[in-house]
Amino acid sequence: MRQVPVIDIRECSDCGTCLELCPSVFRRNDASGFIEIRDLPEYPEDEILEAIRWCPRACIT
Amino acid sequence: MVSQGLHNLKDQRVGADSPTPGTLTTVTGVPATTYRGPADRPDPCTLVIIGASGDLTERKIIPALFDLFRRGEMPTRFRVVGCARTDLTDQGFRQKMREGLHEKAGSGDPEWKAFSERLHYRTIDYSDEVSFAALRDYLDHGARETGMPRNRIFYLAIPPSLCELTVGMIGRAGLAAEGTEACGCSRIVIEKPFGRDLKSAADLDRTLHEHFEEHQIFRMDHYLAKETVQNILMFRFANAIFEPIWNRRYVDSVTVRALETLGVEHRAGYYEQAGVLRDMFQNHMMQLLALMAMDPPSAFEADRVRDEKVRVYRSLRPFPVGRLNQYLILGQYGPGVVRGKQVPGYRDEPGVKPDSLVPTFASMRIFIDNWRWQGTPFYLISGKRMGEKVTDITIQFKEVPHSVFRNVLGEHISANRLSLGIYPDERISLMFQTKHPGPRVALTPVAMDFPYAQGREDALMEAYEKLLLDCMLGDQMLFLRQDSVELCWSFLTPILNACETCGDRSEMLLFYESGTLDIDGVEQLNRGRMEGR
Repeated sequence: MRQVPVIDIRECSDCGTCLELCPSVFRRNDASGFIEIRDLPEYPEDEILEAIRWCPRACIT
Repeated sequence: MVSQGLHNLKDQRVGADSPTPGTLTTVTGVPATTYRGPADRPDPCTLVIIGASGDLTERKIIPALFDLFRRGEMPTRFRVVGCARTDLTDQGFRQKMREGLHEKAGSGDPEWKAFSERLHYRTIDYSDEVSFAALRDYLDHGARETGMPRNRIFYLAIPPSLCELTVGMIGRAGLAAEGTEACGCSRIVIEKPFGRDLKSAADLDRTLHEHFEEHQIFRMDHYLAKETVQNILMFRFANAIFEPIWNRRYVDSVTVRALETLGVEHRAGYYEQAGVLRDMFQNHMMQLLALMAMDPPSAFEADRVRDEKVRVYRSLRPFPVGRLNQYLILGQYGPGVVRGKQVPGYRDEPGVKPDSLVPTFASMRIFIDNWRWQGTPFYLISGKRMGEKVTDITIQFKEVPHSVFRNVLGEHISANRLSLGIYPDERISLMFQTKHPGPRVALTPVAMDFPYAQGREDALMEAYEKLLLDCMLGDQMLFLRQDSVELCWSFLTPILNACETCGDRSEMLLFYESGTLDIDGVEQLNRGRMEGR
């Protein structure tokens, strides 16, 4: 089953840690300014776990 | 005070042995590390940018390096190695960096071609020691291949949350070592914020010092490298006429202002965590305060200058927690009109909580308990969505002690005012009184005005260029030392606690209409709220 990560935008501080650690999944929407999840057929679990681990706001699940 | 007559220094006659007004005066006695021009180039080095796929590298670091290269100020031999998680080839990295330069360099530009051949890229995994060991081998191989000395500068262009992890990886890979036969220098550059409070700042420093010595650590605040900010020390200590009156006896107050018309734009997530105190005061404003208040250093050398700044911070009078409202005004912008355009209030900005109590404006009254400044208030003021965008420092002198004109002009004569403009005009302006022409006895305030860029366009250097160059030269003058970082956090902690944890936070907050608070408005606020000394 495909597991899609989710960002709690209310808690996100836009620090860019997830963009740095996992650029294949996370990206900044230039129009809104928010970080969002790319739509992918599969998501790299290890990289996402790393982004979750280092997110200072613990806002990725 | 309104200037009615403008007399530029350039118009005044000077003696034959005087320097020409408006030309650059060389300061004598500078240490060997102070950069004098392209003839005094840094030693060959490899600049390793960690986080090279991000905006900072594309918008600031590479353009600054390219400009240094075009002016012949880069080392004769250098390499730039970009590192990040994104998969890129050397060619892909060069292409991405050139796009960031926009019109500065076309694809056929020979200078860009020569510069870009020195750009390389390595994909790294931040959590993997093997990845950093491979980076070390790659750098060693590059040094052997080119015959360049192993001088390395690691520039951390990454989020603060990854700094400690990355510093550890660099250190454990043996890349922080220097001074041995196989190694040249190894330096690390980190940008603000240096922690988000005293404890996290100390934690970051502990990690840095596990692997690097203080002389290897370059804590960067780009504000300090602005020409007019650097000029403060030159102005104060290369002229004999200002320092004797630069004290409590002649100065009524000092005001540092950094006002902007912009709101939080796309940085709401960051700003909700930072607020104006962390965003502006802990770093930029406190640095400007120190430059204005410090005693002359014994020499224009990095540690002598930084010693004097630290002495200012040690003399700061702690905020009285029970009477904060006499020393601090906090505000948050509401909706309004800025430059004819309707703008939302802070709480209506995307990404901001609708009941947010984060301050977007602060005005602080600070006292320095030392012999020079006892009783003289320093006002630090910064805010978003203000009526105008301006950054400047004003020294308001005291009025004459006794007016000999009291019978014809009244007791009050406007006091002298010295203004050091940083934005929009980089200039120095001294206001003083003159006789108004004509038969009646009347005074006219006039300005002696010096636009900083006048006649010296080539000499102005962008802040990032200056800081990168200084880092390659090993000159830490414009970089922060850890003791000053921790003293600033200690000073601001009572305010941060009051802003973020106390029960009556909303009562501390003044809600102002966007675009309405101009300089006069801020001064009225200060007079109204901060009474008594």
